[in-house]
Amino acid sequence: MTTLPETAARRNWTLSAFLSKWMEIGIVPVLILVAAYLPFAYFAIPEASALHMSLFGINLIGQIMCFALLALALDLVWGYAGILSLGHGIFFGIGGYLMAIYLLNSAYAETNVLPDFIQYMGTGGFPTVWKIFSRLDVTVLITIVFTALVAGVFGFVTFRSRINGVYLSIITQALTYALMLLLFINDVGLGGNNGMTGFTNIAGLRIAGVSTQIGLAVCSCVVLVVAYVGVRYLAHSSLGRALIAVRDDEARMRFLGYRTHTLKLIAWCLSAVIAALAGMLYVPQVGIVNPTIVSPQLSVEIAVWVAIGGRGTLIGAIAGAILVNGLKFWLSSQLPEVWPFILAGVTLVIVVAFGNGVWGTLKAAGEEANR
Amino acid sequence: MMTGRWLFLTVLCWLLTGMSTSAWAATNHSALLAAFCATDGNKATALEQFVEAGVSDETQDQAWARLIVDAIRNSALVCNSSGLVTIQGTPPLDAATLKTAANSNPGDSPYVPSIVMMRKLMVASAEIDLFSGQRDTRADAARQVDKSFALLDPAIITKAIKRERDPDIASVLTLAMAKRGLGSNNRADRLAAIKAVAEVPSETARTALANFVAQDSVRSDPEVLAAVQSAIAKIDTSLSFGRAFSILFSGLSYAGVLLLTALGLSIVFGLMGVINLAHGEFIMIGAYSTYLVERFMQAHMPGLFDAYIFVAIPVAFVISAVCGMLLEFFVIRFLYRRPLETLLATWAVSIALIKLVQVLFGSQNVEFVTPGFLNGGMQVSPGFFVTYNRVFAIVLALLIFLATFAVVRLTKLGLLMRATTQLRDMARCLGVAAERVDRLAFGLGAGLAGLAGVVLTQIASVNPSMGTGFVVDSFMVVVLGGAGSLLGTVVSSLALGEINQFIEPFYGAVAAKVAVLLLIVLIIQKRPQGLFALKTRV
Amino acid sequence: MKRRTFLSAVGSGLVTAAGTALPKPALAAGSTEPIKLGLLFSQSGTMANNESLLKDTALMTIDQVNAKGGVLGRQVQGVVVDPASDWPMYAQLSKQLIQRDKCAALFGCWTSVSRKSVLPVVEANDSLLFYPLHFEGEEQSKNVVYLNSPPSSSVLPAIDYLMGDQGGNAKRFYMIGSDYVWPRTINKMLKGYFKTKNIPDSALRERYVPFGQSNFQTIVREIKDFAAQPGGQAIVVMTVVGDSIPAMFKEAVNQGIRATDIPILGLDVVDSDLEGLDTKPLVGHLSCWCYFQNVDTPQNTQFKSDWKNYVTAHGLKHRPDMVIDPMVSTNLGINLWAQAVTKAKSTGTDAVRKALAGQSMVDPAGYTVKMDPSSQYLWRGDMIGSINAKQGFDILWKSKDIVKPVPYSPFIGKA
Repeated sequence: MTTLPETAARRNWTLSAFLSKWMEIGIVPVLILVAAYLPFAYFAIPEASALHMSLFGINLIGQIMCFALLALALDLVWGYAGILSLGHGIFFGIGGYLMAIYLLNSAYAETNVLPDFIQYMGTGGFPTVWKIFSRLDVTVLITIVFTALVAGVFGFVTFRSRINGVYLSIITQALTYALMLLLFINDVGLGGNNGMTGFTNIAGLRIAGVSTQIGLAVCSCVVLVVAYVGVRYLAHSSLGRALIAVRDDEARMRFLGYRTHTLKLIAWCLSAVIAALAGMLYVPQVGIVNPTIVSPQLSVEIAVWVAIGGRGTLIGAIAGAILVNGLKFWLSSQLPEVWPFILAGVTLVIVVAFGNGVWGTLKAAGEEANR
Repeated sequence: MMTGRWLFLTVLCWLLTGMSTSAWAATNHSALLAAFCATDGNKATALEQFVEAGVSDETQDQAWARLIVDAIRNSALVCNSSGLVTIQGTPPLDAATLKTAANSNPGDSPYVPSIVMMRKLMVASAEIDLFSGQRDTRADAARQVDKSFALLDPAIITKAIKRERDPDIASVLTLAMAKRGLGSNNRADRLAAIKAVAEVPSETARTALANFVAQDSVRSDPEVLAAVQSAIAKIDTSLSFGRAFSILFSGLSYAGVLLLTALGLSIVFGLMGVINLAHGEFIMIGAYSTYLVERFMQAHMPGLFDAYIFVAIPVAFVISAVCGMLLEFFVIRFLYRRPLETLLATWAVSIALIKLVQVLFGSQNVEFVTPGFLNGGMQVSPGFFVTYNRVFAIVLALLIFLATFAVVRLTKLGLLMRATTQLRDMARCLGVAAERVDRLAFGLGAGLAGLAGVVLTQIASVNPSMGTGFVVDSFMVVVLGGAGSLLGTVVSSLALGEINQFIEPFYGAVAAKVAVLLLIVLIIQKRPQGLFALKTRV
Repeated sequence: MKRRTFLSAVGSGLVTAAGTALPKPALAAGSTEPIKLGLLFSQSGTMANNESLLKDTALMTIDQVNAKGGVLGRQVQGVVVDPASDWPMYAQLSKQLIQRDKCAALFGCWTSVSRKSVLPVVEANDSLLFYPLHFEGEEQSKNVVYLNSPPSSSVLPAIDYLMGDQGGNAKRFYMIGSDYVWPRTINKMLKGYFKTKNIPDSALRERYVPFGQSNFQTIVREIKDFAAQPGGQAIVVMTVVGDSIPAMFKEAVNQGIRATDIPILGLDVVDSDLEGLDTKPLVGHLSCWCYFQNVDTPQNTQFKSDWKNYVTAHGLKHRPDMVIDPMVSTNLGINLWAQAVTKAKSTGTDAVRKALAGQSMVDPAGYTVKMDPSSQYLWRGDMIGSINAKQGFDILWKSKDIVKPVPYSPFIGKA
């Protein structure tokens, strides 16, 4: 719920007031700054300094940015259209796997060695349909179109049947579970449990190379910024307001003459595409894709990041994803035994006490202060 | 005087023969053992000698041979490099004299029988057992002999048949001999053998006949050929019936598991609208409670050990129900009417529970010692074999369902639960303490999940993350059956269980699971309220 | 105004970087810093049972090496991480061990999936992974040291035994495995091998189940059906792993299968998989490894008592009287690494690699194992074991001497 900008009202210069308005714009230059800082921190700052970032750390940040993008995608449908999808891992996975197919193609073009799973399946070569994924730009385009199609079909059938709320969530969980089981089967031809690995280059650049990895991390930040700006613009447009109205009371909107299922479908497809892009950026940085990327647990975790950050406030989703994953990477190496308890505790506290998440609560407090 | 001397001479003769017989016997034992232990000797022939000794009329020899054959079967016979043959144990025994061995070489390891040798040993001990004094031993031996009719020694069996006074055992042995007729060249023998084998259709019978019909000598004889083919056809028919029953039975057992895991969820989700992603963890808690009961009874009440599964039922129910009520008290009751938040909160609780159990019990699989009465199975009809643990699961699922149905339909708690579901505010106006009813209902749902865990200890692997595999499936069952409808849960678990088992033999377990999931999703699209929708007014 | 966001964004970046930007230990000469070895073994998830044994064996061996003065005058330190049986985690953590913790070498992985996930990382960072399990071969990376046998040295002898007179003249084979690279590759090789022995396709059956599958009702029924078909003795070649092993054994026993009817050759079965099972009805089923703990040599007695003392001293949850082949391989790997580093006077990958060639030592099974001069495979002895009633294995057959490992099987292409 955005308040209309107040022109002459007194501004209460409390911290919360800053946060509620300026941060939402401020995140953009901050992320750009972070993106610029990464190569600087690696190349220009000497290793001994505390401000230096190792390749490992930069890689980590890149992965977290992908997760933030994923959370943004979910916030679009959950926070603004009220669709709690517990299966966004499916689109993340589609992007990841299609990117992996492209990467395997380029690895084969360079080394002329077939990946293991093709070898032990005995098929002799890549499936013919894989040939279309031979260029990066073509791959990105096809992924976007394919994801939109898949999301469109699902959304069309589901929203028309007026399925929403809890049933939708469970169905999305079931679908992502089914996809994961399917991908575990080697006969499906996507590497089974092994997944796909052994990438050597991306668009001609050595994938393990320092500049490529830094470039990918920077790219993830930039894509996040662009997506954030785009989604925010959408959220503040009339489409956004219509979505919010659908979230709050769909029946009323329907009676007012809006085609709610079309509105939801638009948001759903857009969200799916963003999630697929996140997957495409994630896989080259991790170096492997396997069915756990579409596991039901990961899809629920995305919702947890958004919930902790604050749904309906796009920046909350980003903050939630960064916070939770940052903590997870840090704690699971220092105190692996404790991390699940901490995550559980934080989630419970946020969900039960602060229904709007960290960001949402801050924002609401800010609005209160502004009144 | 004359008689006295004759008497003395006769007694002396007897004594001498006796001594030399026993000396001869002892020497014979050593010779047999040496033949067995010889490095390039034929162990099979040596084994036959043991059997000869075992079925001889000397009771001493019988007992000795039995012991030796048992020792070889248990990999306890040590052929020492010094020539001494010992049987491992405390204390080690000299194999020839059965007295405590003077000194056994620690460096030598016991003889380990190969698979071929194991088969021969099995038949050997069965043949020796045919001459035992106890009827049960002889009956078991006869069955064993019948099963391996191709390997038996006809001379020994004929001798056993002559000796046998029990008609049942004798007929089994005669049947086994008749089956051997398959190997003979006499046509009458062969026809009799075919008839004998076809009498008891089974997979092994079919194999025997199929191998038989592959022989040229059979194919050239039209009468025998026709007999074999019709026998095979007859066996095939009963086997295919058996297979169909097997599939139905597995479907039933799968349905039983689904029913157990979904029942608690149906109550909690249906009657209260609460999404509980920690449901799988209540199942896991039930399984671990069973583990604790098993450990306890093993340590303190070993005599009653086999009953641990029955003791575990109320224990697991109570522990899971208490956990459920605690969850409700601390978390869920703040989240009614907010289903999406409940989802996330229960997910958080589930990961904490998994980690807690991991820390307490370790993350590896917990192995359960199956109670004696649940081991093994029964050949109900040819091709249809049921294992007792699954029969137990099905029976228990049914009983639990009936109990739940009774509670919901016939008790006061059930009445209050139904009232609170149908029209909550009105119920409260009428004095129903809705919060308490919610807590008890949640406890009931969690307790039922715990019971599912008890049953699952016998048929699935138990580890801290075992629950995650059941959550999606149970939700699907509940959603398909109609939230809140117990009957719907039964119908949908039956349907899903059977469909899954029908697809599995063709495409594998995973494909079957995926197909079932997609099927449910499609059905839900068309009929979101499920098969048996509960009429409520919000 | 943007201070807070700036701080929060950079803050979380620093939180992650803080953990990563540790002072880089100087591996330069004259350092007294400990040499770090990465231990990449799961302590949770489906492989936890087996892999945690290897982690503790590695730590025990490191203690032994340190007690003898360490390596190059420096102590050795094991860095333990938990990939939680999640294959991408293996890749992630191996990156962490090499790049962040600067480990000199990695010891880890059980399943071939995990090894294949780590492979690109060790190759890109030119590090060394010492892999202690028998596996499917078809791989020869200069960044991996293969401490256990490829199929030519273990699987084929066992199959030959079963096809021979003593084993029952097996003519029909039911191959059931978990669905991933190791069973798939083994079965592909076996199919090629069977073709050379003129076994027709109709005498073979190939089935795969997902990791962690515990319901083997249909599979066991199918096995019984298959065995009942004419054509000769049928055996089961079992390449399922982890939890699936006891589940399948239990189902087979319940449905009445015994080794005398249908022998099962369980290629990944170790004593820890038989724990808690009543193995009397399982007596006679086979497995093949380079070591079984019943082998009677002074080295083995020493090794077993070392392990027993270690377990009791540290209060570990493992059985003190159970030692399995991968544990021995891990022990050999660390000792051979130490020998190579001492010879090369450096921990650098290239130097160690060169020094490893030809290194040898006596293993607990009594063989003098040696590292192949070119393939980075370890020459080991070979044994076939038969399950006994005490949840262990009796040794049915063992090779007279170490066997030459063949990385690339000639039978793969023939399938």
